[in-house]
Amino acid sequence: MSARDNPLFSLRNVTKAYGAEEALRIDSLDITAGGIHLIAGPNGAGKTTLLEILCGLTEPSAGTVLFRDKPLFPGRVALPSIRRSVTMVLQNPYLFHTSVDRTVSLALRLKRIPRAQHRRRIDETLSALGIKHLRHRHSSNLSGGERQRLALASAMASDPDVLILDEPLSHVDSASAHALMVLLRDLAESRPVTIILSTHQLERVLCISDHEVYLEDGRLRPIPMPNLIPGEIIIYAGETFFVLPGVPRIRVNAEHSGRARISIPPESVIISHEPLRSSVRNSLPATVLTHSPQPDGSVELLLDAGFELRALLTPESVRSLSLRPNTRIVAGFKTSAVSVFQPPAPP
Amino acid sequence: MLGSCLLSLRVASVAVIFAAILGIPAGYALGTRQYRGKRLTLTLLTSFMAFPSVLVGLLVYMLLSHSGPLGALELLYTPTAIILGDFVLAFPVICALSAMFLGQADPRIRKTALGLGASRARAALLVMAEKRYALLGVVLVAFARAVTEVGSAMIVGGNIAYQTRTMTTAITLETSGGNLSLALALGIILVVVVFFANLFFWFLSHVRSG
Repeated sequence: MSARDNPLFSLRNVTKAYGAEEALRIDSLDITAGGIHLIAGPNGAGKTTLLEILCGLTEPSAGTVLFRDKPLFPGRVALPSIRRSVTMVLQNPYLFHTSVDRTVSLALRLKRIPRAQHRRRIDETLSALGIKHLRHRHSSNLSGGERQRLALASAMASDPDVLILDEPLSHVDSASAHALMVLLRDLAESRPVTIILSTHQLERVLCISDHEVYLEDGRLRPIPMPNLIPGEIIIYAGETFFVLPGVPRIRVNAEHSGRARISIPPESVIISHEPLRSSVRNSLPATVLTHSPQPDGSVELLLDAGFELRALLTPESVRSLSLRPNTRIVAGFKTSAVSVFQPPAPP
Repeated sequence: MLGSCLLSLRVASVAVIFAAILGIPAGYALGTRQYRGKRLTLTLLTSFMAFPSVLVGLLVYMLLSHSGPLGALELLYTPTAIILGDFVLAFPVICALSAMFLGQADPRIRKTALGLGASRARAALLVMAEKRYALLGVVLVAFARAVTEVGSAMIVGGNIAYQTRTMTTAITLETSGGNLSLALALGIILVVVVFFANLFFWFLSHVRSG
């Protein structure tokens, strides 16, 4: 196994308690290098605590955290490496009382970047973030979106291997949030950087992420979005389709072509033995793998449709259709039922 | 008179510089860390701010007198002894007020610095840099305390003409000798010195931040 295959961060049996209150309990979590990793969950789920542990700011109460196979906690062996390679932007970042370019210069000094490189890096980073015209402005005279960009510029200027962003969209307006998401996606594709960002707005950020984990009450949970499928959007004869190898094209409502993920609500999936002649425009041949009763009285079917597809039915429907493992059926759903998550189109 | 004036400025400045070098980091540690007995420590430190200068003079005298633990250094009745007394007066002021200001500093300053890759020591320096105008005010208060004190300078300096006579001890001497006009003139000079120190601080905080 090469170093590249090893996880960047590896957490085992990690807990963090503040007094008697346990804020985080993670049995096992690996974060691989590259791409955008999303840590989603409601407010108070432990996202910030997790990010601060990854950045070496907060020591867990128990458990081990490895960074590039070296122990970060306990022992702090990897702490110098973390300081060199990892940069974190807080949810509501503090901006030092000085001008925009001096703020970025200070960040470069903290990363021990040679002074000869400062001018070039500051110019490049401020240009990339579209705030070069503000370089002489005092940080206290910036808008919310500009402040977020300056915080990001301070973090990006040193070209870190890992960029950790805590709720980067929470203090910016809608236009700035969109621009920030385009920027992060571009960054992830143009530089060898691993971006780890937290959000309580899963559906909003899902479009740019490559990997997701979901935290609730400090614990890892399945993402509350079943049938989340990665693939690609194509436009053919004026219609937009979601395509996956070995699966019939799925009609969706998408804004543009390119990589995307879709989510199909299990309660929207209609099961029949023959293709339906109705307004349901997507029909996929599938095989029943399992069926399991749910606490609310419904039955969840796990189907093999070329990908794993879950459907929720009433027990009566399961009986009347004689559904059991290996039964071949047709799974249908409306185009409008499919949610599409794709990176924002570049301007 | 000029000699007394310069000596006053020199001993107070040196004492306050040393008190700031030691007192600000100590204040940062006391103000930002959580530990058992923190409130008691800060209360004691705040109480030392009001320590009578004659009592400080007496303690330093006992320390430096021939029978005292530092008697062999023969510092009694020298400017160094006055500096030591001023240091003892200025240190609690700087340490206690720094602990208050730095303890109340925005916790995001330190976290932002650490998140950008700063070491703990560098992050502490950045917190101090961000609160520099408050700390300048603290240093100014300590300077005012040191330059205007008389009890300690009289006891450990001995008020020796051309050697350890500061402005405040000179004022005391001239007043007891009935030379009230000279005493008043010295008093006015002392007030002017403190005024210009204040003006310098005001200039620094308004012009540099603006």
